[in-house]
Amino acid sequence: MFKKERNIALAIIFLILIITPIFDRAPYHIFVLNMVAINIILVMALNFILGFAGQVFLGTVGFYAIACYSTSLLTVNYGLSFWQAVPFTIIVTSILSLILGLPTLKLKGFYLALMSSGFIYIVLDILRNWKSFTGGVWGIMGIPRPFIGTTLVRSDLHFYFIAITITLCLAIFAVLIEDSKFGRAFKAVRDDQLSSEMLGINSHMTKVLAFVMCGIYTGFAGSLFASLQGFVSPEMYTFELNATYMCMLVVGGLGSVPGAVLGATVLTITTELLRFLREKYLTFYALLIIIVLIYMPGGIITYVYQIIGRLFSLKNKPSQKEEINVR
Amino acid sequence: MDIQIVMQQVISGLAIGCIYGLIALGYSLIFNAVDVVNLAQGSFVMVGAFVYGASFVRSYGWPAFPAFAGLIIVMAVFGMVCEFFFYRPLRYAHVRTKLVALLALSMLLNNLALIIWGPYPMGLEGPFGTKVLSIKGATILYQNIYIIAITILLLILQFYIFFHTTLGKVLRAVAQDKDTASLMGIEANQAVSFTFAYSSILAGIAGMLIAPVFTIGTGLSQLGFMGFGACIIGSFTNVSGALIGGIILGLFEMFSASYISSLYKSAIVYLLIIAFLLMRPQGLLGKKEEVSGL
Repeated sequence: MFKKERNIALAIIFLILIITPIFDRAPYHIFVLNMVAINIILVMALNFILGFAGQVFLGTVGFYAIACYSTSLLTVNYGLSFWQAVPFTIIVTSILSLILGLPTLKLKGFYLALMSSGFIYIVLDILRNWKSFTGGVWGIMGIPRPFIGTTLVRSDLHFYFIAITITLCLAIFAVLIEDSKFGRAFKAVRDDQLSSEMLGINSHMTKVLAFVMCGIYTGFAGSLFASLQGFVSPEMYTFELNATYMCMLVVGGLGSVPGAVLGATVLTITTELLRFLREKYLTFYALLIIIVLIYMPGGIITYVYQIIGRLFSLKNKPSQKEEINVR
Repeated sequence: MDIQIVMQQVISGLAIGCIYGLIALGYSLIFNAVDVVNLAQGSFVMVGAFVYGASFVRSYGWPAFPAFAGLIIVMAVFGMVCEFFFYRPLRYAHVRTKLVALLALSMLLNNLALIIWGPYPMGLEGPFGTKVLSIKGATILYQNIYIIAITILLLILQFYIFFHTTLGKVLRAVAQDKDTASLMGIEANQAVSFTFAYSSILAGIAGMLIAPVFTIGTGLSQLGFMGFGACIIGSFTNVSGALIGGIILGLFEMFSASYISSLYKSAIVYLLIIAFLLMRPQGLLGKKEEVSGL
């Protein structure tokens, strides 16, 4: 449902994101826009597993760290170019999600929550201590920017156009998946596992598929971030960062692609505006998650849908409004 | 491998395992009552350590016993407040919504603690200081014995409350079947609120006991995952399973740090937990059941 609203909302948000650099080219703002693009991919990744398939996954940061490091290691130590490293990174993260997902997604939901949070600590321990391979706390420096044809993309502005193109493609792909039989299977398993199994859906494999999609998307985000930043170090990946992505998804709208995009955009910019609070902005985020969960479980995207519905005078049956309520 | 050193390690492993067991008990109480894993349990431990160590003992200079009594009152109220504001509005929501809300609560508490008590970890002297007991060359911290003793006392108390008082009967009835219990005239909401208060007290005591061993800081909330791991190893539905799981985890952590690698200490412990999760998800003492999704 809400297909028209969803497509219009996505188009509007991406149009704004693409034309913003025409008016504002301050280097810091361009960097923030790059982060917006990367966070959108990450939150869409989380949306696959938490929003569509309804499994509480807390390990985004662990996957993200592995994706960043694998791009860095492949380009710096093995001399691959950025575009060669991306497919390998995605293979690494998707195989990892397969290994972690196959056994745990059979179990009750909170087992995945524990496994994934334990996974973050394991990854961080290895990144910090395996000095000969990961560079320890110093991380890895000198990760190359991508080439387009034969020109190296040096400026952040040009990098932003690559990043936003990839993000847009991934968003369109996510929407296509949502409308395909896989998307319907994800939501069926989320809403009622037993009934979905009665309809012939293999619930376990459906959840694993959603998890692998999450891994693939995180792989893209990690590659882009490593190349944008030029260096990686284990200090960037914290448990708090994880909660930030959770907050972006919940505030935007669980189980809705434009919700994920909107949440990531709005909260990445808010985080930059709240820099003066240092770490205290997380208090605000935590409160925001709880308030949104209690008072508007569909996220801000519900209101955006209503406004778009009115502006474009789309007609929806009243019963369809229940659908995005993920409770 | 000296016998004295092994004995020292066994005692400190047991002590840390008792702490994990106490945290795990809190998890399993709430899990049995409302079918939700309280992801904020680790933060409750941290709040307990801060309230007892940073506020009562260090700032106000209270002696051990009044501080202990104060801690119990504060933690009980704290647990009820958390239940009232963060769990009760969502009690009809889906489990995953509750999990996300409790995760947010944990994040909120960690950051509030940073604001209230500051980012610098504080040391705290236990009631016995750094005094040691020497048995045949093995030196054992009195604090470790104190931790084990308090845990055993708490277990006896809990056994008494749960199986010999009306309150315990009410709590067990609500844990078994909330709807039927409320048909029998039991206030299910109050019982859930009381369960939160009780498990928050357990977490607070765990925080009080662990504070002299580690330092008081927001890092303590990471202990919550150890308690969770103890539940996985023991059992989620079985009270003694939680304690046994905690002790296994504590001993394993101590020995792996000394004989395998101290750098990868936490990674190894998490690997053990994940291995249990994959091989025996119902825990050592749990019964095999049909496990399914959320």
